[in-house]
Formats: sequence, structure tokens, C-alpha cells
Amino acid sequence: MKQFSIMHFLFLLVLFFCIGAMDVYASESTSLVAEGDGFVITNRDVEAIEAYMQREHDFVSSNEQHVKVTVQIYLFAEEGKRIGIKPKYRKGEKDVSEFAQLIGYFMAYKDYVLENYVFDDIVIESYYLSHPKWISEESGNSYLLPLDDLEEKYITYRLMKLKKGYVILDEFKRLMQKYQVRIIQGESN
Amino acid sequence: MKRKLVSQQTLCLTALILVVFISHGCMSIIKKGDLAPVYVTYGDMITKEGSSFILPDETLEGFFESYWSYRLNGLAEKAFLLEVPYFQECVRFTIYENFINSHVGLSGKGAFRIEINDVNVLNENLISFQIGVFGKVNKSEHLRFYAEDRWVKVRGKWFHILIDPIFFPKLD
Repeated sequence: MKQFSIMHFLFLLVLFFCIGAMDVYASESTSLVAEGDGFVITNRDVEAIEAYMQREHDFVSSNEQHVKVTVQIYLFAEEGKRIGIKPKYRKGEKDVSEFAQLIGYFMAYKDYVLENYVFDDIVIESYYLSHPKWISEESGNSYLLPLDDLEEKYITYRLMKLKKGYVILDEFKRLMQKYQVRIIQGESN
Repeated sequence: MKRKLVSQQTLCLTALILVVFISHGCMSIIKKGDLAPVYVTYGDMITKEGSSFILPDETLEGFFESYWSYRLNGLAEKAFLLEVPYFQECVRFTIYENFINSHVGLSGKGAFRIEINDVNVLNENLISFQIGVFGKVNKSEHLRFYAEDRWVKVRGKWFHILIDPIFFPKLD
């Protein structure tokens, strides 16, 4: 009986130790942050994106914001892969790790969205008429610069500088619905 | 005598109907009066020149008055539709609404006067005014600001070009 008690005690001790160790391990392990149609995002992914954003863009924010940025990067990369665009890497970048590919697809799809956004004709025309440019001739006469292809490209560029934040945000919202994304951690109450 | 009496009754009935119609008309004016009226005056420009300024396109006057009435009365949705199309495209309505509400909240409290002090016709589609906007907010507070007010004609319709370097610094 006495021997059994010692054994029992030792067993309990080991058990408690294991539970404690498991708890420590669990706190450092992977947990699900968001999931969507065909992909999952864990806290490890968010940490990797957070480190990347801080290193490359000096971007530091709340955990909620980092989760959103991570979801956006994954969504854009996923959509980019699906439509078959080539990932964009920095010049001379030889790192083709999984993470570099993820960022490459994200960058490529982001550019694809912006390049394919079409402003309505009346939007371009209204900007052109509101910002007239005059060309002076040697004779002293002047005339209004026509709205040709080059001017249209310039106006599109100017407008996109103002609009691109909304274009990206709208695309993010669209993909959130398309991929039925559910954010589990990092949502504000 | 009896015939005269009937005639008087008819007269009374007609008067009554008239009163009803007039009061109905007044009610609709009062309903319209929910918006503080906006009066446009032409400032010193006319008195110095000795003649009134004629706008290159008389339809502009209607757009101008409507726009300022909507804007000063806080009707952001209607005012937004009179902003130039590229502005509507690049600015979220909620931000615009905040901008409008930061200037007003005055609906039904007196009247506004817009004084046009100078007009610069840049071309047949582009006009710039120098305006002063005056209004009474309450007994102790008055609205007063001066601004450049630009208008552009796009496809036959005049649109306002909002210039505000603080709220919309990148849009000029």
C-alpha cells in the first residue's frame, strides 16, 4: 500500500510536469487566425508578415491591423495565382522561398488591379476641363492642349494617385466575400 | 333680394375655397422654408462697373444657387452630385459629408447671403468666382467665410470644383 502511494505520487508529479510543459508548448504553438475558401492563416503567418512590414516598410500597428494586412496579402496572392499572373520580385532577388513567392504574388496582383481599373470617360473629361493646359505659339496665339492618349494617361495617373487606396480596399472587400473569409483572432469587438 | 343672398353665399364659398388654396400654397412654402434661403448678391462688382455682370451661360446661375443652398443647409447627398465627376470618383461620400457637416448644422435658422465679388472667366467651360458667404447661425454666432469658387461645364452641365487645401489637399 505504501509502495503504491509513492508510485502514485511519482506518477502524478510526472503528469503535472507534462501538463505544464504542454501548456508552455501550447502558448508558443500555432493557432488559427483566419480561414477562407482554400487557405488558412495562422498566428505564425501574421508574425511573419508583421516582421516583414516592419523591416521593409517601417510599418508598425496593432495586432488587429496586422491580421488584416496578412489576410489581404494572402487573398491577393491567392487570387493572383488563380488568374495566372507572374509574381513580381525585387530586382536581383534570388530568394524564391515560399514567403517571397507570397509577397511576389501579392505585389503582382495589387499592380494588376490598379492597372486594370478603368475611370469613366466623364471622370477623365471633367479633370481635363477643370485643369486646362494652354500651349502658346510663337505668333502669340495659344490653344488648349487636346485630350489625346498621352494626356488621358497622365490624368489617369493623377487620379489613380488619389484613388488607389480605395481601389485596393474595395478589391479586398470583394475578395473577402468571394473567399468567404472568416477572421477568428484580431477582430475588433 | 333672395337672389342677392345666393350670390353672397356663392361669393363666400369662393372666398373660402380661395383661402384654402392660398393656405395650402403657404404650407408648401413653409415646407420649402425648412431650408434656409440663400440669396446671391453681386457685391461691389456691379456698383464699380455700373452694370450687372452677365454670366457666359445663364444656366450656371441655377446650378450655383442650388449647390450653395444644398451645401449650406447640410444636404450633403444633393451637393455631392453637383461636385465635379472626378471629385465624386476620388472622394468617399462619408468624408464629404463630414466636411459639409463641419461647416453647417444651420438648417432652418435664418438665411444665407452669398456675395460674388469677382468673376474670372477662364474659358467658356471654366469660371472662377471670388465669393463671400454670410449667414446667421444663432443669436451670437455668425457664419462668414471667403473662398474661390470654381465651376466647370462638362457635357452641358455645370459642376462645382471644391477647393479646400485642408480637407482635400491633393485634389486641386
